[in-house]
Amino acid sequence: METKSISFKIYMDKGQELDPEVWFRVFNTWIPQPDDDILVDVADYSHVKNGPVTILVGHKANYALDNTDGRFGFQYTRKRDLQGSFADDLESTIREGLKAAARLDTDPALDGGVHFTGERTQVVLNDRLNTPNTDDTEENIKADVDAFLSRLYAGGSAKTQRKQDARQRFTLDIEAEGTFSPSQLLENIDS
Amino acid sequence: MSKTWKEELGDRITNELGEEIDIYETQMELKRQDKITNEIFGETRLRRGVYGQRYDNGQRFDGVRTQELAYQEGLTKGVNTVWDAPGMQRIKIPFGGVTANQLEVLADLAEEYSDNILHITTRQDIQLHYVHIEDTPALMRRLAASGITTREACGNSIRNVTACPLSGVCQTESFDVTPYAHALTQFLLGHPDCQDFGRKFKIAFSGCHHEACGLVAMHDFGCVAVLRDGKRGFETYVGGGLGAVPHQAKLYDEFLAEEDLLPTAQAIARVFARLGEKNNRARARVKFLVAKLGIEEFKRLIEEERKIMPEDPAWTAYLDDLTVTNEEPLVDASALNGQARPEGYGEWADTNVYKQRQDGYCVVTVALPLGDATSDQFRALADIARAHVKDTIRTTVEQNIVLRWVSESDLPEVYTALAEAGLGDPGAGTIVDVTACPGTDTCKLGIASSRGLAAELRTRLAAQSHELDAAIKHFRIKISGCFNSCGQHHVSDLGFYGISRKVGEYQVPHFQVILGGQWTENAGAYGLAIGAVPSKRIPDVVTRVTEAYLEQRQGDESFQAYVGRVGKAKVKEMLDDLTAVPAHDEDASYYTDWGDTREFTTGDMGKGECAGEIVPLIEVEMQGSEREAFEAQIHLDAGEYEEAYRKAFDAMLHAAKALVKTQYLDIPEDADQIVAEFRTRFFDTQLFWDNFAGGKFANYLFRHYEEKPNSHDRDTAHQIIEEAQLFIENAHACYGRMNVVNA
Repeated sequence: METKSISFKIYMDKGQELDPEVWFRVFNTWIPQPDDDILVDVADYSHVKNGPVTILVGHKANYALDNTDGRFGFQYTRKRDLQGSFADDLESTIREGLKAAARLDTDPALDGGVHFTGERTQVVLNDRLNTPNTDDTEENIKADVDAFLSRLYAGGSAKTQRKQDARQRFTLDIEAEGTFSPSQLLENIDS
Repeated sequence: MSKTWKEELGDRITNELGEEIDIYETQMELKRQDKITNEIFGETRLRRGVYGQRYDNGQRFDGVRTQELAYQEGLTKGVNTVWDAPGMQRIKIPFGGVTANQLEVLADLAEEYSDNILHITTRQDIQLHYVHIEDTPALMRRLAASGITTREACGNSIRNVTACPLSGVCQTESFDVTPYAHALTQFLLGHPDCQDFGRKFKIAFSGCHHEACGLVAMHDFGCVAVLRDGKRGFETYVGGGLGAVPHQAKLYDEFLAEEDLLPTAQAIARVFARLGEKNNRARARVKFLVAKLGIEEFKRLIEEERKIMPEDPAWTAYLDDLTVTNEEPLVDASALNGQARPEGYGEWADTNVYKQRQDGYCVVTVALPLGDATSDQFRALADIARAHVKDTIRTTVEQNIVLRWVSESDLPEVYTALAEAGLGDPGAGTIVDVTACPGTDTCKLGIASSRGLAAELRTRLAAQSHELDAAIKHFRIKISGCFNSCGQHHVSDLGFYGISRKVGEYQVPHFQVILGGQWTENAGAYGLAIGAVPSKRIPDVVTRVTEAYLEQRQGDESFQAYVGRVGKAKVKEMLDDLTAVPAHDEDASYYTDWGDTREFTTGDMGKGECAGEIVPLIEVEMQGSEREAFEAQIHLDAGEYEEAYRKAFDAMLHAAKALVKTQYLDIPEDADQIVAEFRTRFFDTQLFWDNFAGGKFANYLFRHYEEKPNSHDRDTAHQIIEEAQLFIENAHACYGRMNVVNA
């Protein structure tokens, strides 16, 4: 199973009330200090409802504060250079997404104004051609997803639920027991 | 091995469109192998709607300095355009007509290749931003499978054919122009006679004269539906256009019979391709050809061309079935009687619902902030359309979407569904519904943040919408990020276009304030700039001008009439205190733009001690030239065209002299010497050249210096004032660049 693009979203219960200008400023400071990507521009979409709020556009990935479905969080979308197995690509996407979230979590400009709820995350396979929103896709990736979530949540229980609207991309909402910060989740992956 | 969309879609794409995309994909490969030039590939991709975007030269100013973006070196997709840099994909939507299925395809594409946002343009197109060129063939195939082509969406070609979004349901139209817009689109798409233009060519259709409709007066070729003795035809116009120097289109024919529409358009294309300017792109639009030849000679050439053109059955074949674009309602018409009205419905219905001429049906306008919608919102619109109206959906030049054929009794349900999707904003077609081009957000040519300003104005005005006086509620505000007018600032009540001004050692974002434009009557009049105001004070300009109008208007006096009566000088005077810019250490907020936290720049900044001593002198001179340009407007308003012409020319001369003085302090007050010195020092050296426009602005001065008009009229005076304004703006920009060079 190959897919060309994967999104990983980690929800937040604090940060939505921040002025979009704050996100713009923070992302703008990231551009000269890229972490294994070419960061290009910041786009403000705070005027649309239930969609992206602020996006840091990169060459390899996009980094977005996102309010799709009215659920606020940070979304990392890996859009280029996925070349491994699905399991590898899933892990690298989530790892990079968590690294970026951890960077936000400790960004002094945000001054503790954000809080991630790493126990609630979402994975989107952003490639309708190769990974359509079907039972077959779910079956094909199930073992890889389950194995990775077990590592991510240190063996704890994590439930997944797939969006059923066939028009939507293959989307898994993930909910684990406990509370997890981005850095804890990164540690879990590496331990 | 992953699948490809080419394999997946197979015969769902017509052969013609499939071959087009195959050719494009081959050209991409040739470019990767460096077997075709940047110039050729650049035009190739533009003709398929694949457009450049800001920072695609691999550089970005981060607020402190310009940073190199570390793209892979070598591969480019155009002159100074990095292959890997994200770009914009423009998607043509002829006459704005789009189906529910197409909305869903567009939604998918925005998610998979763009940033989850679909942007409606001021010419009924849809744009996706931050698209990688490697994704464009797949994107085009998916569009093609849904019946959409991006062919000739950009480049020197026939652009999207636009039409009034109410065509067919309008209460005041002569007849439905949709099948004609459709036929002309199909006929001219890829037509051999349309492949050798010096610039783009824009066509619009309107059903009637007095509404804004298709904005015919600002198009290269515009058609207004007319019935004569029961026979269908068009009042046609040529040579209109906005851009840096706007031209009102000239009447070509009071009644062009329907069977003559296609051959006449073809003849115009042939003459434009043959005689239009090719080398100087700044003067390569049809408007310049019409102005050069005169409308009578232009018309004679078209008529001669028609005589020698080989007959083409396609000219009239479409007339056999004008029902091809007909629409049917999904739901029987029924009145809105006792249904419950959801909260917010009344305010929304007041501004967003238009009664069709067909009893019991309405057009609903979905107001999109800044023309943007998310993929989920597009899917929600598709669902609403399927539930209530079938495929009767159109985009608008005010960056909105309309749903036609909504039964009146369905309106509350439609409103509720829209509101649930975050699309229930009221205020369509009002002062809140601000139009803006992409500006500095994504456009390479943007000077100031048109979208940032539009968002700010929209937020402020929406908060006041309940209190707004009816007299100003339907004002149009339109904003462009630069003088190129993509935001259509010339045809609004309050228009703004982005510029920069030097204050001390800093650049400060400003907007020129445009008054006197007219949206109705198919963009019936163009406004003129009355002065530059710092970007951060533009909301105050809106407040002050609208309040003054409400206080001082006489009876039902229109805003245009009010401005004409009190005079632009008076209006300018009321804004004078808003033009002041505090020092940077006093208030740094003036030195950033709306929606952007970086310190404002139009390029790398430098602090020049060498030029320092000259700064006060040149600034005085520049102000003098601006004053003269403004005085020219006053003469124009007074009908003193010769004096207006002279003042505008003096203003250009004054700005040229100001620049010359930076190198030749003792330049005499002699026009011959000023022009000669300016040519040698600033034109020949290209110091005065604009990155986009080249030497265009300098040529304004040279042309008027060399060729004085034999007679003076309003058009001539209006044009030179526009040109003088642009010349002065470029003098400011040139001065800014000189300081950097000297630093």
